[in-house]
Amino acid sequence: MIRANGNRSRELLWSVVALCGLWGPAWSQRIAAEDLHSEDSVKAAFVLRFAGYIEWPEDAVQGETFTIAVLGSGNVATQLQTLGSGRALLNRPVQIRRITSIQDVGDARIVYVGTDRRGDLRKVLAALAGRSVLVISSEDAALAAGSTINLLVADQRVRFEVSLAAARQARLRISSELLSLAVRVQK
Amino acid sequence: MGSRGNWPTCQRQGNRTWRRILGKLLLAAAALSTAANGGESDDLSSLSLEELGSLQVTSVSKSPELLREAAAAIFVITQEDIRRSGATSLAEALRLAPNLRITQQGSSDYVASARGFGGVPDNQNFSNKLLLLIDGRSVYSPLFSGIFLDSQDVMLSDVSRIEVISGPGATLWGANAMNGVINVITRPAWLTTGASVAATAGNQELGLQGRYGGKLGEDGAYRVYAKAFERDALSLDDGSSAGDSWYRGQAGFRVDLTRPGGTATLQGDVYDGANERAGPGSQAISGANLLGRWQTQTERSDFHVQGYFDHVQRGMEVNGVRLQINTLDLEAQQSVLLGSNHRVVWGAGSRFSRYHIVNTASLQFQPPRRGLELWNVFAQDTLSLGPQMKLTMGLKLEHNSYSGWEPQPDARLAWQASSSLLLWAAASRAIRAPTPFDTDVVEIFGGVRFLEGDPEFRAENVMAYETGFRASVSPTFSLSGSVFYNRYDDLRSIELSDTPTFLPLRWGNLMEGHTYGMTAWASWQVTERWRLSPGVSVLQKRLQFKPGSSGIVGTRQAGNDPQAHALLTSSLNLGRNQSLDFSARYVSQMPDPSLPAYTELSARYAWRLSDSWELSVRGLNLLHHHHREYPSPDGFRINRGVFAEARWRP
Repeated sequence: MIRANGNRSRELLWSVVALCGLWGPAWSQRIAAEDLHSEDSVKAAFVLRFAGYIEWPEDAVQGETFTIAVLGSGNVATQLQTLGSGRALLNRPVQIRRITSIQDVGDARIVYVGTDRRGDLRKVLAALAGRSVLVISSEDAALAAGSTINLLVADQRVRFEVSLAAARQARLRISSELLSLAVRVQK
Repeated sequence: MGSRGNWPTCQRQGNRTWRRILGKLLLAAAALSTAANGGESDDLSSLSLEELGSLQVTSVSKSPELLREAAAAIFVITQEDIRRSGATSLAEALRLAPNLRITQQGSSDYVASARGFGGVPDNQNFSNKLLLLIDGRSVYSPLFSGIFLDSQDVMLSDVSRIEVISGPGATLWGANAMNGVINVITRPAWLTTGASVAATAGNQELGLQGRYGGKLGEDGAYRVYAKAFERDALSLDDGSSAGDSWYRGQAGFRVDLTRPGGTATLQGDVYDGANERAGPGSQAISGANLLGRWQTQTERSDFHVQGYFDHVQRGMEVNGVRLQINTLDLEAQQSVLLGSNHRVVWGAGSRFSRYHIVNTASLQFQPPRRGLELWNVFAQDTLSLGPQMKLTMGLKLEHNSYSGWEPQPDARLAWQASSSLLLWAAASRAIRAPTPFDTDVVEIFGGVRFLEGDPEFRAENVMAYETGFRASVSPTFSLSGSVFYNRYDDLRSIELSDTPTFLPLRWGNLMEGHTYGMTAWASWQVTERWRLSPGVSVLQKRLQFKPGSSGIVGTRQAGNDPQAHALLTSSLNLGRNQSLDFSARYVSQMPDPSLPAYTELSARYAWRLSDSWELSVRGLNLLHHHHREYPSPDGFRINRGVFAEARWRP
């Protein structure tokens, strides 16, 4: 009998919550501060933003454009093209280049390695050894594998971690402001 | 194992009310979705890094090939999948993998199996050919190789992903990975800073969970969490309560420290709970574990060393059966690039388990205390045969306390036929090592020794041949499939004694045979906001007894496995801040004892009120007032469930 009452009160409780639900969406239209963005578009925005916090060595400056090469991850590349079109970084027009092999990296200053190419990360890093290219990845253990900036999603927000060791090897200087926003800095 | 009694209650479902309210909700959702405006108009490129970091993101699309290069049938359950399903326990989250079969027998009794062998409780056969790892900690029970899923849970919102591998994975993953490996990976602590609280209430469950994390000095981070739930009993045939309600509480922590050249992790959990049983009364479950890991990387090599301690306790209130297991496990592993074509992984590990069982008059382990040791060394080489082809060959030598050294070799070939198509094939051997349940058990009925373990019990073993593909058919459609042929030998059978009464019965190794089947799943991004993910597994079993076997109980004892099960998940982002998810599953008929096929549906509707609040309603098993996933009397009736959840994250 006690059990039956328990059930009834629970029934009541959830019914109230469910009925509130009918009004919830309308309510949320007014309250919600931000819309949900797609993970890939926010990652793309991060990639573009990072350039402003990195100093490339003088001898690395090449090319008429600021080229970002994207290995794999078609969605991020598409979003980068949308967000980057008509913009300039380091006084050069932004160019997004989709590549299928790291050999095609050309004069890119940034290489984004998509989640779908995580297995190639070490190969990418070996191919870029000694060059001042910022490698941005998006995979759990990427920092350990040698990437410089790694984008991760946690609690539905995009986070990033930075490896100073990898940056040093590529002779990149990373601003302290960027480091202060990183969830983790590997020294 | 025991009989379950009858607790009459006046449990009556407000069936019509459910349906009415649910109908209204769905209507409202549909109306809103048409009104909602799509597309991302905001210019993300104008936002600062800080602003970008504060945006909540969603990805309906799943990275189609998270494990693109892996030459195995791997399904990945992502954090997004878990969150959208509304699952509140690990057992439920595992239902999201189409290559795994989860059978709920009682309120707390969940059984996981892959490629069959899901057990037959009335023949004392339990699913025992899977490896479940939680952050590298193996949690199958060394007493019988099965997994007590009611003892295993994690803070689901802190899980990074769950990899479900069907087929043997013994060479790399470890002992008992005969038919599959489930690898639960939680996030490092630096990704779980801040507070998060969720409360669930429904007609079958009340739950509360919370986590808090923060930075620890300059280079470290920590989190602590606690979760608890109480779940109602399932029902008997007449609709009355099966009396198997349960509750469970768990708390834990994780600390990650970044050091030059590596990271250190320390994590642990404690849990406590009780499962009611109408017959034998309450069963108490509790445990604690502590794990430490050091990972270091150089340009050409990764190295990790790990150790953990795990304490497990279960006890019945009435008949006094109690068991306690303490396990200490140490392992080290290195992965190194040799030249330009070889990646070698090698390592070694040892596990010491000490158990103590308080026997009853009818079920005894003799001896009741014992120490078990498991040693292994392994090496694996991945050789690049040209740019598109990789051959992986490995061997694990494992030594267990009963059957000694067991070789477990593995060969895999992966061919990247084009940028969008991977073909793979594999052959491997894996074993299930003998356990105390196979060798030491004695069952006594009416003063007569009825069944005995076999001290000479050999390891059950499988040779598995598999081949499969993974294809990105288009940017919006990916497909993965595999077929397998598994040859089993030395499977457990029941044999007779040379006495006039044929008693005691003995375990033997006189069953063999093969299984074959396929698994396939796809991910189809129908529109930007809508994804459909179908998955299917098909299994055929052909088992027989070897000469000299008694053949009693028949080959049915190896598992009451349906021939097919399928899953269809629909993930829809409704307008701006809402999502609507459906998951339908079909399980074909169970052969013996037989149970008709069933189809069930669960749904979840969530809306985000603000950056920090999310409310959701969830319906479980919506199609029927009740269904059953295992035949009576071992399986109870599962009723329709409706839940509401509030989630807060400042």
